[in-house]
Amino acid sequence: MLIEALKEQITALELGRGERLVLPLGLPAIDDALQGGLDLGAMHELVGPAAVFFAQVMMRLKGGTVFWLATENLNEEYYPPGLLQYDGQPERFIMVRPQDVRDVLKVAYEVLASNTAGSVLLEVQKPITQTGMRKLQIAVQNTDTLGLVLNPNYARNIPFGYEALHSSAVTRWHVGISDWTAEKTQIDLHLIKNRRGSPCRWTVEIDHATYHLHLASVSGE
Amino acid sequence: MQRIICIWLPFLESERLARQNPELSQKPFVLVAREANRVFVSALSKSAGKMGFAADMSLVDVRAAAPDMLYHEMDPEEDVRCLRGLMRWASRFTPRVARGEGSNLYLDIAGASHLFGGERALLETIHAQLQAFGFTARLALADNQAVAWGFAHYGQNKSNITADILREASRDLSVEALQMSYASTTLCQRLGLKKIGTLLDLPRAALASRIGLEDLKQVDRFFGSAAEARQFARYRERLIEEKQFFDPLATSAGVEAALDELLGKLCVRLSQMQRGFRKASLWMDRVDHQSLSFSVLLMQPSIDITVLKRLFSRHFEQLDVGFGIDRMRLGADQVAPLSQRQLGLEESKKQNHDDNRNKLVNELSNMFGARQVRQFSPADSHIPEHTFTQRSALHLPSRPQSWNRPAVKRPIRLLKNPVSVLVCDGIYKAAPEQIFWHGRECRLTPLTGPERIEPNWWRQDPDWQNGSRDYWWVKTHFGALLWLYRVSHEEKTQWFVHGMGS
Repeated sequence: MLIEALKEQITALELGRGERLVLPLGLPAIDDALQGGLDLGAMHELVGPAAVFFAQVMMRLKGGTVFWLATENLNEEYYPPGLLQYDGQPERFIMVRPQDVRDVLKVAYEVLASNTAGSVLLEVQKPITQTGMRKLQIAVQNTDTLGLVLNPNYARNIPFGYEALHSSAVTRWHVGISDWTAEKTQIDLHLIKNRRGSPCRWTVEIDHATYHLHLASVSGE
Repeated sequence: MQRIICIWLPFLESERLARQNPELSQKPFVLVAREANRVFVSALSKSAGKMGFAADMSLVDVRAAAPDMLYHEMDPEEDVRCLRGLMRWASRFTPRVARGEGSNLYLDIAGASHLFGGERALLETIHAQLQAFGFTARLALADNQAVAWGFAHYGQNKSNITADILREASRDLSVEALQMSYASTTLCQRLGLKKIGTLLDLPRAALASRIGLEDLKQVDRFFGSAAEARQFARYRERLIEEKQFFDPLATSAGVEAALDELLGKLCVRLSQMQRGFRKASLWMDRVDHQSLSFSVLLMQPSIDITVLKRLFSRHFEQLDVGFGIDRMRLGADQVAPLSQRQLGLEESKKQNHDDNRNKLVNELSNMFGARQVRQFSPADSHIPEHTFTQRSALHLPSRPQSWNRPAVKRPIRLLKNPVSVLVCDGIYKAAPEQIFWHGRECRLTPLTGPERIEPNWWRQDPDWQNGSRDYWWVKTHFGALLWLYRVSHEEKTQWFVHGMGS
């Protein structure tokens, strides 16, 4: 009991505020592993071939304005019809595309600290350094913004665990698609890093009509 | 009472061209216009006029008589622009300046001539300045436009006509100066009524039956017994505040303090007009004659000094004041009515949140340029990459936007430039089993497809020049969904990745 209370205090100190705001994903197994849900006012990392999809699931749950920050030379663009299919709101999407990676981080600090965005999705070519990540974490604390960092190499066939695991993000997810039908998408969700508990792995199904998450199977701890 | 100067520039077209190309100033040349197959002279330089050529001659005739005559194309738009420039220049003498038909300018100098040393001196000044610009000008000053026009065109140059000498002075003027209709003018000339004086000696009733009431009115207008109307150019109030410094500003703190003052003044002026800045520009003149300028754009019209100052101060980070700044000018380039909103108590929190977000968008747009901060707008097309457009987030859409949910599966992300992943010889109709994606081999499981999308045949689109595309959804062995399409062209099938999704 005492340990639990102390843990709470430590997380509160880490996040720089008294109470912890969470975004439940609506799946008890995952929410328990995260001690209630995804931390708001914190940074989360996403890697893997279906990272964009899972980011959309998170951003849909969060609601509000979405800021997408990426450099101008990235060949990818969000596609409004595709967003609509996953219950996204294209009119709530604001894209900021500076030329320079440094500027992307600069924008990220501004947007995160302003506390006007529902979620902020940050995409940079190289993994963010530990200092950079810590700065983002400091900018986002005390807000209720969901901070997401996406590795742009997500769609390539690169085994996970490739990048350094020691960043100051609160969670790190590896997401891949294991099956797809017209009714539902099945994804492999691997919580590689979890500051609220131990790493876990699930296979989750997402219903295309309701966007609810269902557990297909739990595999290992 | 009016005192009108008419400025006639008989060689405006050619002198305008000679001003732009100084090597032409000494040579005779003509300006030509085209009408169907006929090329004719529409204006000519003074020296060409002295050689005996005239407007409306055909170019062939002119070249036959003077084989080395230069000719240039007519540019009426440029001429009008030149006249507008002269109008702006003329506004130094009086605020009431107007442009007449052809190359005439009218200046109402009533109450302004004493500033330039009297009417005679003013006429001389205008004439001398126009001559210095390279324009031949004929001027006349009179109580109304008709008389000023008549004397500028047919009278003595720089004549100064007042009401009491008008009848006497106009006796010897040609009847053409009355600006009557062509029929009446030729009729008068045929009857030997070549001078205005002879016309005046006739009884009015006889004159009216000959030349008609409309042209009689023209005569009355000339002698000031019928009214004439002319719209003078109206100048918009200039929303500029300026400050000069006896001691040049050498620190950015000083510049900021001065900006504060300028913003304060301009915002007070704008608030009286119920308007706010949409775009503001700041010019700074340095002691070494360099000038710097910055501008900021705003999403919603604002006269909030702190907001504007914050936007400007972004530029001040790399401000180089050099030896100091001795003049600052702040201008409101675009203004818009301020929207006044009354907020309910429960709405104010959301409103506040939106305002903060708008401020953020504003700042980001000014940091990186409005084109780097974008939002989606729907567009109506079946071509995948044309179903949306991107607009600057600064400009809010005028109408509420509606998005149509696609009936078939579409990717979350689209590649701006589709990536070629496989080329094969021959025509293949089925989805491939293996592609090269990011330099690695990739095994595929097809999910849905094909979905054929045809290009818009009525439009030339270089991306779609190889005809229709067949789209497939495939899953890669490492767990990514790709949106592939196939193009077959000249016995070759090429596969591209166009999007990613799930």
